[in-house]
Amino acid sequence: MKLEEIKEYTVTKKVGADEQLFGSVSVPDILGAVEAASGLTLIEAPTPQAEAAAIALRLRRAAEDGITAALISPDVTLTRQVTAALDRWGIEPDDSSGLPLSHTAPGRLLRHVAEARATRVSAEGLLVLLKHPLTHAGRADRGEHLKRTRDLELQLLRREAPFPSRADLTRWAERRKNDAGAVAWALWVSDTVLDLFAPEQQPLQAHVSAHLEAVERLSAGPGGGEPAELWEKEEGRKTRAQMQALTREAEAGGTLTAAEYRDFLTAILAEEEARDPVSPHPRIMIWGTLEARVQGADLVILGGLNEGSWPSAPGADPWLNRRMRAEAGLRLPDRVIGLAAHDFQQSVGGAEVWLSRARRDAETETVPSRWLNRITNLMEGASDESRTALEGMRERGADWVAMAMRLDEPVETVEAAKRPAPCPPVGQRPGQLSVTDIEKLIRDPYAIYARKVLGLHALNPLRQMPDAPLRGTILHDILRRFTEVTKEGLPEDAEALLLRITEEMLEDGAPWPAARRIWLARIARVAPWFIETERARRALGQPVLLEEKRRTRFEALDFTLTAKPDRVDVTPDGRVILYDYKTGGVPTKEQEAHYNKQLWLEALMARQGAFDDHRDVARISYIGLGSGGKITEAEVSTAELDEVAQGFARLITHFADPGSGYPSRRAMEKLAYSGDFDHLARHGEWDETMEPVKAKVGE
Amino acid sequence: MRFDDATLAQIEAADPGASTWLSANAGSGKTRVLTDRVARLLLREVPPERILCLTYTKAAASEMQNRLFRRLGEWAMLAEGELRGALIGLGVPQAEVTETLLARARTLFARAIETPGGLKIQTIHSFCAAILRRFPLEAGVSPRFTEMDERAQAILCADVLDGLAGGGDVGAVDALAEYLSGDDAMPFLKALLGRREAIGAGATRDEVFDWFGVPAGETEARIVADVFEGGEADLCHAVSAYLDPEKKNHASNIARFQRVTWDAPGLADVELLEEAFLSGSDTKTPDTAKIGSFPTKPIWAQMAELTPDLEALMERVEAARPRRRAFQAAQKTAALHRFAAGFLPAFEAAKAALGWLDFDDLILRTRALLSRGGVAQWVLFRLDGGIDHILVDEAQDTAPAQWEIIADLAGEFASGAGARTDVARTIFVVGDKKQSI
Repeated sequence: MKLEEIKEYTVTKKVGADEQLFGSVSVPDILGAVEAASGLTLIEAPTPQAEAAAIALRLRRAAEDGITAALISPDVTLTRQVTAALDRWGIEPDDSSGLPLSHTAPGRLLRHVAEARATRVSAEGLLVLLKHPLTHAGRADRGEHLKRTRDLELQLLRREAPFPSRADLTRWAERRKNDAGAVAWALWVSDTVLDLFAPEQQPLQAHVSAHLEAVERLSAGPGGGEPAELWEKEEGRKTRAQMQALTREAEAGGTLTAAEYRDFLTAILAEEEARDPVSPHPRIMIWGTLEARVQGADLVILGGLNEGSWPSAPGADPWLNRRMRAEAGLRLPDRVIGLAAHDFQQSVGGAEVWLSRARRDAETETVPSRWLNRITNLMEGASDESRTALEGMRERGADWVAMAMRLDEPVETVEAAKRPAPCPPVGQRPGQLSVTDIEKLIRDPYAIYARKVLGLHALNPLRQMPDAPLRGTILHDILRRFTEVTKEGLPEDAEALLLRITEEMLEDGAPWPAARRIWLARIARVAPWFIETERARRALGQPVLLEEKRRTRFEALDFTLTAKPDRVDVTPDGRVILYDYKTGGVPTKEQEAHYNKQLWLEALMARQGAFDDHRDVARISYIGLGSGGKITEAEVSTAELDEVAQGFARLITHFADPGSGYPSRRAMEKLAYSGDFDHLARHGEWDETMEPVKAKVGE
Repeated sequence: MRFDDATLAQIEAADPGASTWLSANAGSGKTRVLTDRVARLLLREVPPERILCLTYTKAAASEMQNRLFRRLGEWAMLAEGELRGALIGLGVPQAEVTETLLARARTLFARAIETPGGLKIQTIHSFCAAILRRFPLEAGVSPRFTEMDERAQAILCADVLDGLAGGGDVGAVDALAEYLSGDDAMPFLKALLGRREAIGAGATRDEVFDWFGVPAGETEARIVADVFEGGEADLCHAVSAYLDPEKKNHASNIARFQRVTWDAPGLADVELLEEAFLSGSDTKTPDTAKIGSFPTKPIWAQMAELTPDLEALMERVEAARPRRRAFQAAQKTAALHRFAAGFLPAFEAAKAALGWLDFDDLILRTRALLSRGGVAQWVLFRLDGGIDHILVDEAQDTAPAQWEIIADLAGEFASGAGARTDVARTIFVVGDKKQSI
């Protein structure tokens, strides 16, 4: 906008200082508004993302036209979003601000190591360090390092070691075949990472030297020596310089904890910036408001024009208030707003200028920058001509926003997937399933297809939490151990013994102190009931098998069923009782009738001789260890077992038919229930009201 | 110009001279009334920085700012006749709409936009945060404190809990663990943090037992012994013989007698007998032994040989119920206070070490600051010349601690010695009783 073309406010009476500041008593007149505004575009995007996309699109056009273009904004998030959006076209803008050292590769490694010194290393934290690009960097055997890291993640960290120990790593390394260096590597990992934890107070000097030594050792790899890439490139050199400066001054730093040192280090690293060494686009620039003062471009985009961002609100501070400052002759906090206004005024005078804002941020609607508010208010009300000019600015902006939104619209609409029921060739279908798989096969056959035919398995989470499945696993371990040591008979103090075993097992299996106490209390609450009922169980029979995996071949069906019953007891007259522990509730009669066949199938297996010579099943019993404890049990008759056998045969025969599919989510108890393979089945594009669609696959 | 009743009511409510409590239903234009009142205050030459408008949400705050700017922006650009009409429409008496007032109206847009420090249309949390940043020393908070969100709060809670369980105060965690159902302690911890003021440092076990009127020396064994004198097993067994297992309530009483551990009874067994022999707590004759009518009057009559002993047992059970309840409630409450006494100070210390304040802290610390004698005056004096007019939106959702802050601010208007006597001060509250949560 050419400011001189806007006529000064028409003043009808003598103007006081106040009115100069706040406007005139009569409506001002603007001439030549349309022409003045012809180079102006006003973006009022619905979201910050849309604003960034529209700006990126315009910059791309500028790159194509060969003109110079600059995005000016104090809003770093916006400039980062624009940079990311430009990446789609391979345009790397020349950003006058670099990356804070804390965000560069060496800076991040320094912070991760400082974190590992302050908090106990978890599986996740260990991987963060091992997978860092500057760890074990610039060595010939880095490939080996990455391969071992990946295997360690899959074989140890995601399975069994939420807080890996030296023993865990050694055990893992010793199990590796054809990997001579594994043990040495595991030792190096233990030395460089696991031993870092030292949260206590130390002088700053000690922190800095221990920290730097650890970082260099990690970067050098098991071979030792000087780190190869850590301090290279501009980011490495600057980070090193910053750390050297810290080392020089550390003497005066006093003592602090490792957590305080970590926060302090992050702040120190954030103070300096390193510029990206990649040579950026020569004509597409991103400037801070200050750089913009001394430079010009053919196209200037003023982004993030919202109150709080441009201008930013002067922060509240504990010093003098405005009146006191004024009386003492000190600068007012609002001076920064004046300076920002100056930046704005200088930038807005280019030949082609975009004024841009988002109408909402992540939470609420935004308030437009005061200057933008003034300009639009003036143009809206001054004259028909100026209003037309403003509408023109808005329309041009709206066009670009619409174009930017279209970027992400799919060119073709993709038809929603149908509810799948794949029919793989019979030869590919599973010939062996466990009794718990059978429940899956009844309720969500697609999950069995994904696991047994496609061979897919859900990865365990890297960040393990003390959740219900883990509690279930530990509870089973506790009861197995308890039954093992009391096989000869329950002692008088059985309850105390159970609690002692519980404490031991929780110590090993649940490395979360609070969860451990809470679980211990839960088991302590149900322990009297469990022991009381256990005495009754022991009066009936003796435990003979504990969590032993057995299999039964059904020749007629050409099918093998496997099971690992929690516990098999045998009565004095040689009959079998099958037990299953449940962490929460026990299955209801309806659940048992329709899909919870686990114990019934185990009874069937017993009849076929799966549990040695104990073939005659007397009863099955679910022991629920939820609140208060609950047991449901059933006497087993031959007629009932025959019925189960028939149902099982029907199920297996059905899935042996090449025309039968494996439908997804066939009989979920609740719609909210989510399975590991729902995403693969594209659940959500279809719902349970739709018929499964069979499709031959794999031929 | 003529106004309909609703408009007149809105105009009256927006009259800036009077303090007002306005009850308004949803959709009746509350935000408009607030905006109008701010506009009329500005017309009366109230400096915009002297107005504090507290909204319930951030969204409402920015929406109201934009609405106000739009209104004032229009005024700046209207021709004289139209502007005159707009002001009268707002309820400004015709006689007051002078040349000077019109001239002033046109400057309000820029004045409001350039308010030093910005318009104070904000949530009470933002307002409190701003006060604490101005007075960290007086409020005892870090001058560079960080406002923590719910996620950060949950993570910190888990850390503190692990710290206690890992050796800081295992007894506190065990007190919680004894009563916690489910794996997730967070809903309970959040509820506890919301009541941290009331719980304070946590009461001792003796104090808690005293609240419930549990006499010194009361134990589980005593309550049980006063019910089970011996022979109850045989008695109830004999009673069972009169009950008809086909009838649902009879059958459940038979089941209750079977579940009682007769040889080593505890409070749970007392409770089973209560369920069998006493009327429910919300019946016409609550918690009373069903003497003469257990399980029905005819059967009671048939059991004549048993009724003398049965009546005595039922009376013992009736006497035990309030004792058992008081004892168990006291135990639970004592566990809560035991846990709180360990957890709350550890949580406060963890926050202080990080320089973090949660949402409740913002309110509680500000209230503590303002309620200290003499400090409120000093705060208001230092707060850029003070606040003359307070407007509160969604008053029905304003919590007691928040009201106390508003009351402290308003109280200073009325009585503060440092207050200027030459300016009018008002408070204006809008709320909807029906939406009160």
